[in-house]
Amino acid sequence: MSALLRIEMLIMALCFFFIVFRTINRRKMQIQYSLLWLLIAFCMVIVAAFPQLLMGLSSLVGIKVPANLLYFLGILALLMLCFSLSSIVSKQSEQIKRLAQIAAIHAYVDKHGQPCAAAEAEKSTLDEEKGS
Amino acid sequence: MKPKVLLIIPAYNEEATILKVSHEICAYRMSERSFQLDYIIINDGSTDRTKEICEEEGLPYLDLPFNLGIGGAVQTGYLFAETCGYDIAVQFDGDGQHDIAYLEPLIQPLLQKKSHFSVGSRFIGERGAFQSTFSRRIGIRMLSGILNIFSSVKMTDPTSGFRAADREAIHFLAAHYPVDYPEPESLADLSKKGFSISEVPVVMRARAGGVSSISTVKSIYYMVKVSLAIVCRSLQKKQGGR
Repeated sequence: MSALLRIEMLIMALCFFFIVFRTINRRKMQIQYSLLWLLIAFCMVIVAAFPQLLMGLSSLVGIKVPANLLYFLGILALLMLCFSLSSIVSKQSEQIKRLAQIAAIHAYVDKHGQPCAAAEAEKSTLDEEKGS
Repeated sequence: MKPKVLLIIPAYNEEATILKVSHEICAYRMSERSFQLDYIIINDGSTDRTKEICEEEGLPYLDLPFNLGIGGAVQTGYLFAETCGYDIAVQFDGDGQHDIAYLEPLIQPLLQKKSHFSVGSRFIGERGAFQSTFSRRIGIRMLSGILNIFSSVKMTDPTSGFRAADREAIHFLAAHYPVDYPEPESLADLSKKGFSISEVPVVMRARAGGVSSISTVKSIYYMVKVSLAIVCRSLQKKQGGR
């Protein structure tokens, strides 16, 4: 790989790493969700700085073209990321649903006093009428 | 002390029928009953005048801040039933398809403590005028089969929204209720948890007004999604000890 290309890759990787850090520090992303991004950014810097690692790893694993290993690992990382995002979204969706439901019930209770006050009133009226 | 029964009426854009349904319920309430009857409308983020009608006519309703879908709306009803300590909660459509006259037969198994959950079926006993469309019936037959094979639940009408739950079932459903196309899946869930389910013949009417929210494409998605959910649930370990 040419020296120029290596330098370009290294600069890009470092920029990405920097952006991830900044995002965490500016509280735009919580630490637990950024861990995977940090790992990806870190790996990008390492591979850009030491491409020999990638060559060595690919021959170890049995992949002919080292770039393929890079793409494969990249896709794997993205898949894991997407899967974790789906899990997070599912959980939050459940939480939001629950909040909406509780909010609706609270609003009703606030407006009508004790829950089912209407039911209690009807019952006592009926009982009085029937003289039971 | 008479048992307290709550009708849960999920309503999404049912301005055409909601008032009529509530009048029907109020008329029924006048009759002599062995149980106390209340109802609560769940406004599921309607964009028409459903909420305004409830407000103007003084109908009891819960106002969801945005649309949750039938699963979320009905679950809100179960949560409300649990909060208010109802003995029996009954899902009742806001489009006029369900006939209040069949309420008593529907909750009989619950009142007699014969089962925890009761489903009103259109396909047993006397066949009423409304039997749904042909393609829907095929779909329902398929779902019945899948439910039977994978969850050992023998239901002739698993998509029926006319169903009743006792206190224990209310507690379970308030915590666990599928978000979309919940009717068959909730039966699989209940069965897995060890609840006994019974079926009661009822007669339903065709939709009195408004439009069904399930189109043809959605129907296919419904079948696939629900079947998948039932199969997944069947693989889960049996959870007893309600």
